[in-house]
Amino acid sequence: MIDDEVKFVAIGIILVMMGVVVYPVLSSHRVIEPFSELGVLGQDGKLGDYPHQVTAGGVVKLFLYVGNDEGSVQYYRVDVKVGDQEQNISDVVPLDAPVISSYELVISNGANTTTPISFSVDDVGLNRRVVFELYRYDADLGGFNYQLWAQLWMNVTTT
Amino acid sequence: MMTSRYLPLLMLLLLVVPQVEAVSRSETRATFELAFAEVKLVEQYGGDVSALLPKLNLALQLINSGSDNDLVKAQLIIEDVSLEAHSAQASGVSSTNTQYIIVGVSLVILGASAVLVYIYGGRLFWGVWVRMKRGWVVKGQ
Repeated sequence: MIDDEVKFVAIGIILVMMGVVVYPVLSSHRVIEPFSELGVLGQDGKLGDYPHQVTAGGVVKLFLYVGNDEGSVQYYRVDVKVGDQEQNISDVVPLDAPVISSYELVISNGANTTTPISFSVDDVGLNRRVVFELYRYDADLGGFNYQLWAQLWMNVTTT
Repeated sequence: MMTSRYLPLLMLLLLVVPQVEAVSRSETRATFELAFAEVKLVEQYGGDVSALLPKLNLALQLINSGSDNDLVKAQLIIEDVSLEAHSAQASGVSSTNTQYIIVGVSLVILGASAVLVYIYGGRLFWGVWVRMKRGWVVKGQ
């Protein structure tokens, strides 16, 4: 009776050890919830301290934060566009406006990059919407897929 | 005499210069996308791509810089990445296979241990028990 119990406990321990050996191999390529990150950082490379009042044609300096948790190396592009309150943008539809600046980068899985960027806004007006759109390259399709967006509101003045 | 001396050099220039001039931004970008797809494949095969990514980012900077000279440099970097990707893929496949072999052998050893425990476990347990308790003395009342 006792030797049966000991036998089953020993076999149980061995089965657990088998699980420990196999699990890392089976789970190495599994990604539970793949996602990408996009953030716009201020002039000091931190959240906040964004320019709200800029001169038309003047250089705006910011930082772009892009993170990759897609489970594999990714090729990203960030387009900077300028629009206004009337124009629509969503997680599915990008802003219908010309690209004023574009940045591309390759990021390994689990990594992130903070890149200094600079651009100028020429359209004078209040509540101008500077939109940053993240696109991810799809090697199967041979093109970029729109992923997500962030925005800053700015008043663009002549002086 | 002079012409024949420089003839190989002239021929080399004729061969190289048109190729350098022919590199356009769209071609370089297409080559870059192919190289990126190769790097992604290397990663899927378990290869180490950490050394290739800074080169790809440098190539992107050069492509976007706008000068023809930078496009040529980008093209060379991309070709270098493609070459390295092939060897990285081979070593990735090799290390993945080694990992599978180690896991397979470990599973066989553990499975064999489970069978041995099932067959000889009781005998082994009592053998050890008897060895440990050999000093015991049974006293009558």
